Amino acid sequence: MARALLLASGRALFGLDIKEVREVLKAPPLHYVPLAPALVLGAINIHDAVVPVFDFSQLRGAQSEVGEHIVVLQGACMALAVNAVHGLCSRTIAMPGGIMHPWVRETFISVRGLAGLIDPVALQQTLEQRLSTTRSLPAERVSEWIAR
Amino acid sequence: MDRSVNQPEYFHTFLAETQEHLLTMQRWLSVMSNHPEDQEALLCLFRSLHSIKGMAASMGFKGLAKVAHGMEDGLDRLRRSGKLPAEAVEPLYQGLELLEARLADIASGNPESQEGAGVGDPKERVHTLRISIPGGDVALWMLVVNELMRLGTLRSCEPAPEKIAEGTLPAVLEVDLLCRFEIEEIEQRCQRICDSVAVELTSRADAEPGLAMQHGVGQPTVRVSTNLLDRCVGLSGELLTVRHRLQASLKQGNQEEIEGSCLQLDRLLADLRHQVLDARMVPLEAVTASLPRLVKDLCRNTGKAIRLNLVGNEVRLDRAILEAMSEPLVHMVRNAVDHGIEEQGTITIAARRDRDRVTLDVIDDGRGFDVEWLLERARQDGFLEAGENTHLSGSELLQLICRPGFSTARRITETSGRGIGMDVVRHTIDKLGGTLQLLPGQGQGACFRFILPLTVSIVPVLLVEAGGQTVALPLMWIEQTLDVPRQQLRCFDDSHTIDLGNRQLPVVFLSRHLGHSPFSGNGSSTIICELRGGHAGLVVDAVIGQREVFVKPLDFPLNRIQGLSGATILGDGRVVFLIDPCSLLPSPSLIPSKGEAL
Repeated sequence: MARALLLASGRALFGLDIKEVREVLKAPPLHYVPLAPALVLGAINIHDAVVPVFDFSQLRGAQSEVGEHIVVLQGACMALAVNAVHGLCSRTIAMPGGIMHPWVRETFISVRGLAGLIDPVALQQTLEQRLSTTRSLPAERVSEWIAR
Repeated sequence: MDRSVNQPEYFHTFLAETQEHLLTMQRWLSVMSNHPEDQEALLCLFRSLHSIKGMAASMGFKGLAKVAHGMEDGLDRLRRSGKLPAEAVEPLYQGLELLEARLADIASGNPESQEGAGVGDPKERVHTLRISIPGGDVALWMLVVNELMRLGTLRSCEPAPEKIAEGTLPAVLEVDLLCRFEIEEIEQRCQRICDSVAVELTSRADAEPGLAMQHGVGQPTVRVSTNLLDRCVGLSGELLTVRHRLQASLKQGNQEEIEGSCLQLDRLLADLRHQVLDARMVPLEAVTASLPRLVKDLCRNTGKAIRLNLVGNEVRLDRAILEAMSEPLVHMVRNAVDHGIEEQGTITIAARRDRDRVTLDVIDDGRGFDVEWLLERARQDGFLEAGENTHLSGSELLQLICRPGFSTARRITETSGRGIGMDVVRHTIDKLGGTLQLLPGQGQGACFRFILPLTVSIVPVLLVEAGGQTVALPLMWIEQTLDVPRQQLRCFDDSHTIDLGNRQLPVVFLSRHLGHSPFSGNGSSTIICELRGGHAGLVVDAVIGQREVFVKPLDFPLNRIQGLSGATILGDGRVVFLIDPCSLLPSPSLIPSKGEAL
């Protein structure tokens, strides 16, 4: 049976397929990321790799409520700060899709209640949209030139 | 395709080797277009084609093998006749393009659709759709959005799903959906949720190819000689031995032994670093190989007769630098063809290695710069005051033509003349830690000189403190640091300047950019890092010191944060980010250059 790591953020429950989790850390030292939006809490040093930590509460549109658990995702070079990690659970009676968040792949019943299964790829796409800036220099210069 | 032969472990080797053969073919083809009787070139072309055919067939890529086979047949006939007729060059170039396109398809994972086999997954496309649900409620809209996400990737969605969930119901939902399905299938799937869903297709575009083959160095791999690998293995063995020695001397508390081991460790690490950096080196040819064809195409379009002379193609540079240099080189060649050379001439790209840097000259023997006309243009565009600077030095001329929005072209062509390119070229070189010079006229024409570092992995930085945080500034951006009393800063409106005696320098506060109060420190003095080019100064709270650091390139999502150019891990495990100071400054055109009055 499919198993997930059950996470709590505010009063909501979320799950991450265990294959998507690299490790769970408790209060590792967070390093400052300059020029980053508030969504980025900092960066951690994991086995000599620099991994950004995102405030999961803000990601789901709630008020920032930083917890001390940090879940590092497998493959995707990122980590999520959550309020609590409730351990592993089985995903029974899962329904595809989620209503509130495009990055929730399915809704399932866990031991603690209804939880949304996070789709890391969709989560990355959401992040991409939120972090996208006017980075491309030529396009910026083109519009400057046209404006003149 | 026979999947049993197409094993993933050989796939990357196949891509790299085929690409290498294509580059070789390009090189020999450009030789043959000048010397059709060159037998060796013909044989080399033949050998490369034969290898591509063999590899493609054994990997099961029948389409690629077929194209290579067709070209090989044709070449075989020419080989027997012993000479390549001039009219055969063009079809060979076309064949080469076809091979490249096939390889790009294979690399991006959709070979079957392009090879006409009619099986396998159809190609992914971006569909721009307008979706309406007369009388649809929140739940219905969300179910449709959910279904679209299951069908593919939503590139954009207007209004956003979050807004719909909050109750903002659209009359029409506009989405860009990347998927493999046709419009009918998408509509059918949506109508399974509700019959009244209407899906309208407004436009459709192919997804971007997964691999750009035209220029650049292709797959992120480098070929490493086994000798070099052996040396690295040997060095790691020596490192282990020194570690044991160090452990033993630590146990004994023998100070002299410990110091000796540390010295040896230092030497071995430097050696290992040198060898590993050497493994990243790629010959310049990887980016110049596509230029002969570019010149040929441009000549055909413009009706000019231009020869491209490549010197020092074997000079090796860090892969990352070569990748970044690809676009600037193409731009310089285009500029030379479009605006430098009038009817006929030669463009020379000459590279040579001088100790720890590479000098790359791009020279054309065209008409050179019409300085009078450039000055007039600069005055018209407001870059120069009337009557100012009637005589320009090479560096001033370069500064002028690299200004954003300034174009040296009298007319805008399809490829150049919009005044954007040179600014981007200089920005790229600056980012790499190199310099761009315009050499004074050696006779006619123009000579641009790029001076490039050999590697970008290890960078000297200045660690500074601002707003209580430590950040690193690449040393290449810093001209000098000054300790200046804070009272010397002058404030005009919201901007600050500092009087440096002979000139005024506009300054920006790093702490303000980092979201802290600019006067958070209690020190009475301020450190100004004068940025290279003399454009502006940066006020920091303290300078911690200079370090040579190993820079880790940033992956997604950190690379989306504007202004960060890398990260490094210090000896105590702290992560410190490198800031590109130029991103902190207002638009360069707004900042007066060195020596100009404010």
